[in-house]
Amino acid sequence: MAMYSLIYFVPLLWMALSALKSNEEIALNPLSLPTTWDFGVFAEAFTAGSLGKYAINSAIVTGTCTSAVLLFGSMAAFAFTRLQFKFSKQLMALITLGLILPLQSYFIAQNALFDTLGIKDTRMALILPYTAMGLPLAIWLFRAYIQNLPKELFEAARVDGAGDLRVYQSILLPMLKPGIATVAVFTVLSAWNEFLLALVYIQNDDLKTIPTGLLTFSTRYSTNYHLLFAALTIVTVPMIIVYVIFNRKVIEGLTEGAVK
Amino acid sequence: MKPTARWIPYFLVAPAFAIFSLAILGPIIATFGLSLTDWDGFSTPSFVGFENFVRAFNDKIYMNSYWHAGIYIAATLVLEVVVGLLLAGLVSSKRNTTFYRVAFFTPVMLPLVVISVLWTFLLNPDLGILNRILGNLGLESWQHIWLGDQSTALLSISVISGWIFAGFYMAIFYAGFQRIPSTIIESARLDGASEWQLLRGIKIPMIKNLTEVAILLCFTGGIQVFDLVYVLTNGGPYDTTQVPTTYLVRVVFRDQQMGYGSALAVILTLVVVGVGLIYNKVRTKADAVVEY
Amino acid sequence: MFARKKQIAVLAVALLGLAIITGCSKGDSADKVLRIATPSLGDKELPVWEAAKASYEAAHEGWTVEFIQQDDDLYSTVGLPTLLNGKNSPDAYFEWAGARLDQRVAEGYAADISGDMESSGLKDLFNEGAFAGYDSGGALSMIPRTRDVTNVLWYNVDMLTKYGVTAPKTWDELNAACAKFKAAKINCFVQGNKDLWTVGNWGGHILSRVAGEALYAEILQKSKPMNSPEFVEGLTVLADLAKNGYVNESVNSIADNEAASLFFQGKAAMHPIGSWLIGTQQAEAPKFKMDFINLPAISGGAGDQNSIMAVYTGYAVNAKSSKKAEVMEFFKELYNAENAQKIADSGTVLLLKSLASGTLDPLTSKINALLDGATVVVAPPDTGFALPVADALNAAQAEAIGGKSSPQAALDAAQEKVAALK
Repeated sequence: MAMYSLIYFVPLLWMALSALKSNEEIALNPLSLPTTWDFGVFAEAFTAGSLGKYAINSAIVTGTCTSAVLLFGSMAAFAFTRLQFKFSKQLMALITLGLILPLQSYFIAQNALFDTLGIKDTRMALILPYTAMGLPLAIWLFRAYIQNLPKELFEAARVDGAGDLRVYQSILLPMLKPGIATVAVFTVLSAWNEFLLALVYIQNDDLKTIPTGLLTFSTRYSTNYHLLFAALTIVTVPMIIVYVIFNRKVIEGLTEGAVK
Repeated sequence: MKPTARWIPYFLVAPAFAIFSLAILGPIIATFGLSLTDWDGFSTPSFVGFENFVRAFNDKIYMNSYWHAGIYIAATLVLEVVVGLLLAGLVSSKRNTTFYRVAFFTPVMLPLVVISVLWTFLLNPDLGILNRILGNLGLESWQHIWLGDQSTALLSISVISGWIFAGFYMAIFYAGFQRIPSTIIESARLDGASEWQLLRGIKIPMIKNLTEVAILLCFTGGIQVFDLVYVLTNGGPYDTTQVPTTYLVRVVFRDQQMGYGSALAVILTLVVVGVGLIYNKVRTKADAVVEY
Repeated sequence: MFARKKQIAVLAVALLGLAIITGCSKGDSADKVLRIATPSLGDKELPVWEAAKASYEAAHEGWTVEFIQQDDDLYSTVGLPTLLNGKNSPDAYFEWAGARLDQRVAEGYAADISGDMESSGLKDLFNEGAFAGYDSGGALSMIPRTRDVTNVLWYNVDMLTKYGVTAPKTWDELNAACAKFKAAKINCFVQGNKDLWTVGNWGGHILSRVAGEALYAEILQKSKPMNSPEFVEGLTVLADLAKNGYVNESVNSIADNEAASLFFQGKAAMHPIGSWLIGTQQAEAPKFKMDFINLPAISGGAGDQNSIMAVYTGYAVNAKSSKKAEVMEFFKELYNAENAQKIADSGTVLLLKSLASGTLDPLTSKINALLDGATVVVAPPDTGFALPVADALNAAQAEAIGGKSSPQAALDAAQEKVAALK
């Protein structure tokens, strides 16, 4: 058991250690510990790979789309769950369609659309689809959470004369906090690691996100192994740290998503 | 509840729906439409009826891509779902689970690019660790050009995928196990059941629903796989690891055939949705029959 | 009341979003931005361009120069057409002479710039004879950049000396040399064909030598079938190299830069690639001693056995652009003596007068001599001809060299693909 989990860590650990070696060392003695512990390689990888630039792009895209998903998703979920209105069923069905239909069924036309709108090679070309892709699941999850909230709460607020928007803002949102956290985690993870759309919609190196930026870096420096591993390590370590801190929420978010 | 003002629900739903329609619904309909045309992306599309679909069924590479996806799905069902199940069983039988859950789940969180680049090197025929270790152990005949040899490439990709996602399924199943009332487990333990018997006899059957969902997830995920295959082999060598999505991307973004690509996308969509629907029907029928 | 404020806030956000969406579409091209599209310039050459951009902008009030760089593979497939057809299409763009340039002219994207070159004085910066090969149907359609030899056999000088091998001039001598290396358990050739064009070029050159340049062009233009017997014969020559164990087994799974690295590490005697290896060697392995020979003569071949495979690159000017004069001015900046020398130092030698007197490293001079002395120039499949046809041929060559299919079967499959093309 312990052995098996070790196998899991070994490749990543090896990657981090190899970054500290020189290229010749990696080629000749891949399994040995580094003889020269060259920590400077990390700084080199960071600048050569403009990793800061890619990280910022990823952050902007992910941040914007997650905020949009949380805001618009909770608003819609509230309406679908607690308010009666015409077409509510049909609209909800359409959104459910979004859960089942794969990316491939729409990204070609989406690409043409973005071309026409002139937003290709801008961050909006990623923010829009990521938001759209995150909304169905978010709405479903929020619906589940809202359904668990006592009906009386809403009815009482209504009796007190609160308008719906007031109810949304002052009552629903605070109570939805755990749901918000879960949806946020799920959306952030999907957006941060998304690759296909980032690959085909953004060619401008200044706007690339981490996955595509790393790919560009890896093809350019494909034989400069220690630099390559250093870059990979730089990207991996913060994610592992964030994950360790938030691990409960992360797993919850992903598994809730999967189960639904 | 009735809304306080008639327009409020629409207002609440509007932004989400607007974005969704613009970015997803509209394009889906457009894709179906485009599949009936021949279009290079700039000039005016020309209507060609079902020609693209006929071409798709005659396209050896496209037909084979489903076969490759099938092999990938079969392999990952074992490497991810089954292994995940076993791992969940193992982990849930221990006291201190956090370390293991973190360890196994970490690869799921990382961008697939990182993992692909790392494993490309690990499997490098001349410099990679795997061949080195095999050489050191005297197993030279087992050395291969893992990602470049048509007999090993697809399986290598599947193994890498297993390394990543076994932890994901483990987490799902683990959460499922946690929901089993502890009284059942405790009484079974008191009766002298071993961990393995517990797993087989109680835990797995009690999360049957979850297992079925997991299988469906593995299928839909597998048939749509892109990131890993694209970075590791991009369909090579000689198109032997081409899967539907990588071929689709090539047809559209390299050969600029939007119409044909849309047809390929439509077929893929129908397969995914179709299998999902049939699977669910069969599931609910079977569930209705099973008695506890 | 609060609700009202919230309403307004949300509405504002929505409108802002809409504004961003529409605002993100770039302005129309009657602005003062000069757009130049090119494959990635690399960190050695980019600073020179930036310097040229700075001095251009300083001299031309209100103007900005924008470089649109893309990955090579993307640029040469859908990247460039997408840019040309989109909003703000580039005013000038990198292209390869041959079928690609002809297509741009036909589509109306490449202007005849002979007049502009003269009047702006840009023409005077170039060598005599620099323009040979750059015209498309009589008109000068590109600002020349480089003539690259696309495929020569680079060899490890020390290794050949060590094993008593002289650089082969005929195919028989080549086979003999390779046999010696094989006996010493060294790969005669290392090649990285993951992206299919490296063997595509190497094999293409062999094909043109065996089948003759005319037939080679006819087949690639779809006038004759891929599986013509001459091509099968030519592909067999390539496949035999692998069959005899002279080529690295990983040929189809490693990329071109990996193969170059292996070559520099002494893992093979020879590496068939273009003249740009000089720049790579200077950057990666400055102490490595290498030299090259043109593809050895193949006895009985119908083609000119001294032919070279070369490609001319340059910058076409968008016929739809209103900024042709500005393009000329920018290139005068970029191609001035100082910048040209810096670009030459980064490994790319432009066809300029100013460089003729400067010092070039010996290998580059030797390449130039080869180019100058060549009477027959063969175009690579993927720049001289239509991409889908080239793809089919390159796939067949990969299969043949990888031993997956016999040359006949591989070319039959290629012909099937070509026949299915519109």
